[in-house]
Amino acid sequence: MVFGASEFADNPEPRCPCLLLLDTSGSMDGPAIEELNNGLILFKHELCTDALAMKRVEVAIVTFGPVRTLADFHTPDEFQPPRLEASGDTPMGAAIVAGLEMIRHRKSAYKANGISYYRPWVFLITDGAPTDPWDRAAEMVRIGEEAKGFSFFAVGVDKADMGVLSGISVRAPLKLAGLRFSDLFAWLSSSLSNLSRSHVGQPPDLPPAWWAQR
Amino acid sequence: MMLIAAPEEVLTQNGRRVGLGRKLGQGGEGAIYELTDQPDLVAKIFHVPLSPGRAGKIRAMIAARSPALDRLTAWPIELLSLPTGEPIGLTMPRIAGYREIHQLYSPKSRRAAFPGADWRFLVRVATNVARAFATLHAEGHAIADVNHGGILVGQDARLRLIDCDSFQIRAGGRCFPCDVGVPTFTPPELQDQALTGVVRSESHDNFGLAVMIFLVLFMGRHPYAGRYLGEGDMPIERAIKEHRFAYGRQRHLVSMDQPPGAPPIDIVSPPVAELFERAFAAESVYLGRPSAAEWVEALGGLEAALVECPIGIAHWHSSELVACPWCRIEAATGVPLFSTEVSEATAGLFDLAAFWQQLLDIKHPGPAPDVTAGAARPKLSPIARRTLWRRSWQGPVAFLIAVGPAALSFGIDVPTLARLVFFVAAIVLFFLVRWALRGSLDVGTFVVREHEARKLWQSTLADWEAKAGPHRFDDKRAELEKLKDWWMSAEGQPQHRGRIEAAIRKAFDELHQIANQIEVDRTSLRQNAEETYALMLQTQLDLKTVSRKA
Repeated sequence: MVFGASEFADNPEPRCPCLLLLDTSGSMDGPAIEELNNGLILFKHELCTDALAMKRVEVAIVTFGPVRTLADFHTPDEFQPPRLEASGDTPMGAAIVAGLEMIRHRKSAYKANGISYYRPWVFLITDGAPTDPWDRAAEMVRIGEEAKGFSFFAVGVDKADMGVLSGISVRAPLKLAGLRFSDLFAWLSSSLSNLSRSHVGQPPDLPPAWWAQR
Repeated sequence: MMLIAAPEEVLTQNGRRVGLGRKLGQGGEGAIYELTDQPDLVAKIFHVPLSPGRAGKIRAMIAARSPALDRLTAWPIELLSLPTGEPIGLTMPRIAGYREIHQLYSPKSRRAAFPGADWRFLVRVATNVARAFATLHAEGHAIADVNHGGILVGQDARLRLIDCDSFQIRAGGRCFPCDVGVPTFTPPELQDQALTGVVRSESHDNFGLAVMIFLVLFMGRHPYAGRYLGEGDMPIERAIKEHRFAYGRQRHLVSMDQPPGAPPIDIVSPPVAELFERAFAAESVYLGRPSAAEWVEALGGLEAALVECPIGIAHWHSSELVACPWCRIEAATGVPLFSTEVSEATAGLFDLAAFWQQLLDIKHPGPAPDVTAGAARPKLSPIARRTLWRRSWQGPVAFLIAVGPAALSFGIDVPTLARLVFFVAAIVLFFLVRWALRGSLDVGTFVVREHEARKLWQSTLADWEAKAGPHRFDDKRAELEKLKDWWMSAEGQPQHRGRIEAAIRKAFDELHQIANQIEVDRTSLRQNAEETYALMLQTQLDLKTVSRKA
């Protein structure tokens, strides 16, 4: 049997993968990490209210500070929101590289199993600036976006270095209004729900990002 | 103007005020509300007033209502307007307890949403999907936007079609087209096209029908979602456009293969497989695709020829297959494809009469074959022959030994009395020698041999009767008869019947196994039984022969 065949025999619906790259460096400590944790719980809850999203959306989490894969791609019912703790520095570049590698792996599992998929979403959330080299990461994001391999979104929290984020993300990064992580994840969930019932290859209109600072 | 909340007042066409109750759901273009005074109806209220074209379509639909459509769909009943006269919504039947068809066709959601639904249920739903298309086509309409959410399935395998206002409607000499479509259900000739104003043909609809039937029968697999053997990605839309049916006869010619762990095309009967080939062939663009009525007929044939796997619980498959396809896939993937829970729905589906027919089809093994019938006439054993040969020398040897004294009695000149003594001595010697030789011939050996062989045969025969005889089969049949009576007496107690049904299925499996085991035992034990019988016959012959000659 090909790797992953069981999972896809059980649920052959097209997949809509979403990778969360979450900053858990020391500066996130306090209310920020609490809000982020609550946001993740809400994220799962919202996705689970949609029977189709429940079979199509897949969530994976990579945290940095240090780089850790906390969850590989799973449908919302199997996704366990982790309790994140803040510590360490901000190896954002390495986290992006590791995350994009996970996406590449996931896509090859889809292909080997005849599972169609939507363009993956990568969601980077950070409150600082990378403490490691990030030019390779930026290059990979640029190439991936050009090849329509994934959509990369960067969200800055609080004192995040929006200049660096602009250098990494092809799309303009957004700044989270206050600590509205709950709104951010509610939006992400409903966007993924919409995406998962749209046509593969034709992205839907996204709801306005009401959580972002204007 | 855009409505965020429910409008305060909506009116029917003849001016009656309609009370909107609780909001039941929200979609992209509107929301669904309860009606306070009509519990069997709901209102769909759009976010923006309907365009004259859209309102005209709904009016035409209301005019085209029919009993068949009312039964099958959520057909609009009345047009609703704001007090200003702008059309804003419609009323339609309330449908409760049904679930979107995608909940049924992928194994993962099926186990929870349709407990107890086996492949029989899926074949029946597939047939009902074809019937629904046939009904709409017969009235001149088309579903046009065929998709995974537009067909609702009940626990009794009946369907209701929703989102009817997106159907393509022919009424009053006009055609009201459908402007949208889901690409994975869209035929190759319409891929990558704007669908606005495009009039769909029955053949276009029949493409979506074939895809839907495939999804239902093939565990949620899309017919064009295969393993692409070429370079790069092969999205479903492109595969449809390029006629790359991943399960077709020509799949290797179009660099496709079915995905690992997916059911092969032969799970369906050849006539159904042929309809898929036709529906997904490149020529179908010009020649048209199998009609809904053709599907109904072929799927009916498939349903009639389903058999239950003797091993896997809830495994039903085409009788034309030698091995159960579900056992193989479940073993390979470890995924339980059907829930084994017996629900009320399937308890109702359990067709005892049909099941009993299957049971009667299991051949009674009959009495144990007679292993003594073919026995050859026994021959003396080598040891008996040796014994007899030795015995045949006893007379001559004794005679020769006795000849000496006898000759002496005649040959030499001795008084008559001495002659007589010699003669008698010769005779006595003859008998003495014979007696001595006879002593070495142990008849007792043959008595013991015969006794042991008879004992062995008796126990072998008892074992043979027990294993090759029909008793175990008869006992299990009697148990099934009892369960059947019990099931009949549990009329109106679905949960109870569910449990009895499970016991019947188990006993049925066991009956199968017993019938097989009897066959196996008859083959494996027969030679030994026959040999034991032959051995006994031989020891009897030996004993008889040796004793007679003694």
